[in-house]
Amino acid sequence: MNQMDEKLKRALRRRNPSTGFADRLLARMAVDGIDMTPRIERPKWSWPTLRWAAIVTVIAITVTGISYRVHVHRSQEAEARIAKQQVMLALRITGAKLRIARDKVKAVGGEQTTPGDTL
Amino acid sequence: MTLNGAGFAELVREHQSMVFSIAYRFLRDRAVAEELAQDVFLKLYGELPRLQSPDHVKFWLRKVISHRAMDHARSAHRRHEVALDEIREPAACPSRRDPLLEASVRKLVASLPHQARMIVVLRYQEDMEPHEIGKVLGLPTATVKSRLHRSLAVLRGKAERLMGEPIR
Repeated sequence: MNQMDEKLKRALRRRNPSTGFADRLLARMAVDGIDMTPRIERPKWSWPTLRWAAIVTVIAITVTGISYRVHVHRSQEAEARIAKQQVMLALRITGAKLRIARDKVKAVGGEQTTPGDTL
Repeated sequence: MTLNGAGFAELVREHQSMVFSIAYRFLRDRAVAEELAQDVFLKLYGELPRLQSPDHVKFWLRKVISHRAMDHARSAHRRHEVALDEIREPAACPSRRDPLLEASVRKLVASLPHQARMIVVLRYQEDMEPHEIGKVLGLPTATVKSRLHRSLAVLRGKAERLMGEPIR
């Protein structure tokens, strides 16, 4: 450290304010009505934030529920449509088979009937 | 940080000499320095919940009192009050053992421009490094170093003229 540094350090060393500085400050705070009781920090999850979070959650659950029900309903409709088509196809096939059987029965019946039988 | 009345009073007592001295060494006016120091501690009370640690409190106090003191000096200058940097160097040539030597050095410091003066106060009163001073005053470290270097050269020159002998 050089001479100049030493001179400056000595000349600029700390000084105390006048006696009772802190007491005067506290008295001034009391006069200004500053509350010195420990302040409780507002929690990050304050009531308005929680309220909005609850509202958003309820809306999300409702929308998801409705979407799911619509999806299930549409799936059931599609399955019912396919089942109906299958039933219709089965009925057509059955009808066709019955017609063939009836024609065969008719044909067999015609051969067994002799001309004398028909009076 | 959250403190009750007694805790805050303790905090004030811990830092009052630092806060008061920065303003006092800069402005050289005891009454104004006390007034500014009280304002800064009042502001500190409102700011405490946002300050995370004792080091953060110390940094905040140094920063706010430095800026307050410089603002006050600027406004006083605008109001044409007696500007400290216009105070002439002492006419007498004090010897090395002269009890007035320190007062002479303080007068020389008062002759520096505002920012340079605050840099010198923080460097020699608070023993702060240039990068710490830069953070407090919002200046690059290189700027702090160059202003400190220039201020010391000016002070050395004036002191040599005053005392009539070279100062290293």
